[in-house]
Amino acid sequence: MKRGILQGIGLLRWLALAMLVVTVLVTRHSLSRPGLALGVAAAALAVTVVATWRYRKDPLRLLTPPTVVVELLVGAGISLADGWTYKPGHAFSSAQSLGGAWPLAGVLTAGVAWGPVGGGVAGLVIGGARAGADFANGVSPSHVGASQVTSMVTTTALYVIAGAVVGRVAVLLDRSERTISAARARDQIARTLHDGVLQTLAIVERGTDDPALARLAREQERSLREFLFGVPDVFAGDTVPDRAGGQVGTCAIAFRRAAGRFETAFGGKVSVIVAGDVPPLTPDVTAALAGAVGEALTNAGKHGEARHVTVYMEPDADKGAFCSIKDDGSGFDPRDTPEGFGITSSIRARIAEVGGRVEIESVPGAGTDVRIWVDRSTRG
Amino acid sequence: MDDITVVLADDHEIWRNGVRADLGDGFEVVGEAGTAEDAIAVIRTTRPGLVVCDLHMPGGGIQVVKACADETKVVMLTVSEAERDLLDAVAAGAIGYLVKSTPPDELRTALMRAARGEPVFSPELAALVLGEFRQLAKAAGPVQPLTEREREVLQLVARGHTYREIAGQLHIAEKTVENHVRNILGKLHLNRKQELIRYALEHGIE
Repeated sequence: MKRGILQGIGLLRWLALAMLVVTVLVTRHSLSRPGLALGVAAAALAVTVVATWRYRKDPLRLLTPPTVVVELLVGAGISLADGWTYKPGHAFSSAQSLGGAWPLAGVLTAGVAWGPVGGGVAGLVIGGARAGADFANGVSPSHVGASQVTSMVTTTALYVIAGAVVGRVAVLLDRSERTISAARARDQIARTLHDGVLQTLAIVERGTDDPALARLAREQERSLREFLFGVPDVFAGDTVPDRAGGQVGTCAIAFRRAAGRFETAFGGKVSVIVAGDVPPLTPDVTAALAGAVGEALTNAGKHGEARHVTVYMEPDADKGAFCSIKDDGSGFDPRDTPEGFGITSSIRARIAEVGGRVEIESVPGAGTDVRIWVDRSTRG
Repeated sequence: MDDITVVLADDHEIWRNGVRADLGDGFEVVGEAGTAEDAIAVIRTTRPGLVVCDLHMPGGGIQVVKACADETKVVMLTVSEAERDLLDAVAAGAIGYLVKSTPPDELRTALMRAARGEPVFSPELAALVLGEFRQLAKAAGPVQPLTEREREVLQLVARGHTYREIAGQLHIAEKTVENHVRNILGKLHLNRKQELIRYALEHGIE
């Protein structure tokens, strides 16, 4: 993607060069040193040709420090030359001068190479050179009025902003490029591991008579899935949003962790199903949900002796989420079971804190069904 | 009752052996295949009552569904839980789908039901189908939306309730729950077809 920006700058270089040549022709009557003007044009042409040639060979070679410095220095020289090329008084006369556009290419290249700060500094260099040219053109410091100062400051500021903005864009592009290639690498790994390792783990889990080995296989399968489908990215050091683009991943991960703890502690099985289009939830809501799911699972294992629990989550009324935890355990009568009351009140408290709603249905002999509704954001 | 004749299609022999062992009494494995092409050929010659087919086998399990869904019942088995091609398989006519980690006794029960023509709808698949209909509802164009009752049934399946439990909660017969699920599958199938036709019309494909 950097190549795209560099290609654009390359085009700018040629256009600015054309403009420079036109400017020489148009302003030929105000030139005091036509020879210098031709020299300036020749220098710009030389750098433009070399830059184009280097771009053809390998665009990124335009970003090596010596190349950037040379282009910037030539640009500064061209800007500064304006002070001697023209007859005194040309500066601030609102007439075109040679050093206007072409040096901008150097500022932009510096931004791409060195980021916003480098681009800004490069802008400052060119802006400074222009101000120098203005003084050399015959404006002595004592004659500089407010309007001249404003003009110089504005011009310099524009160069600085241009360099900084391009630098910022380059940094952002770089980052998204890395994210994308990391996601691609992950996809490829996922595809490869999917039919190989996950398959083998499933075979082991099914084929073995050793419950410890089966549990190990299931734990490995779980951590592999976690690695493949929505964990902080180990390749780019960044968090890649999952398919929904939200932080559904964090809820799904938290639920799966709780499921893993349940399976290790009680030996049953938990199915975690989180729809791909659950809206992003705030960290508070996510934490409250994860806590509530953990409590519900503990309850199912400890008091209900459940063998199979299903944790399900889907978007609700396009502003929040619905979550249910359903087990096949023994259930309890909420009215006369103290531990059932304890657990349910703790789930209710967690969810109430983030402005959500809880319904718990438990029938002795028919398992427990916990239903939770939350809004995307907290109440406060 | 006669044994249910089964064809197993999966590229891993060890997996086919495992499933065969799990099936036990009541099932008779009449053929096995390691690729979609072989599977279709074996199904054509053996005419089984049920096909248990891996989604990701060479040639693609979906091809098997497309070729054979009219003649026999196809159940997809997969290690993946949330994949697009799973929906495609079911929309193409598979009667159900199960994850490979399904415990043997559950697998047996589910396959028995599938052989009788009852849709085998795991919570994972129900969740996928619900998501598909949410997507369809957002997109413009002619779609067959779920009725409120169908949505309710589907959500209960996704949340891990058995057909019997759903029947009890909604005060309807278990057969009615099955009918709802079958209708949902039909609508999914139809919507997919309409989507394809619309796409073809919009892009001038005849």
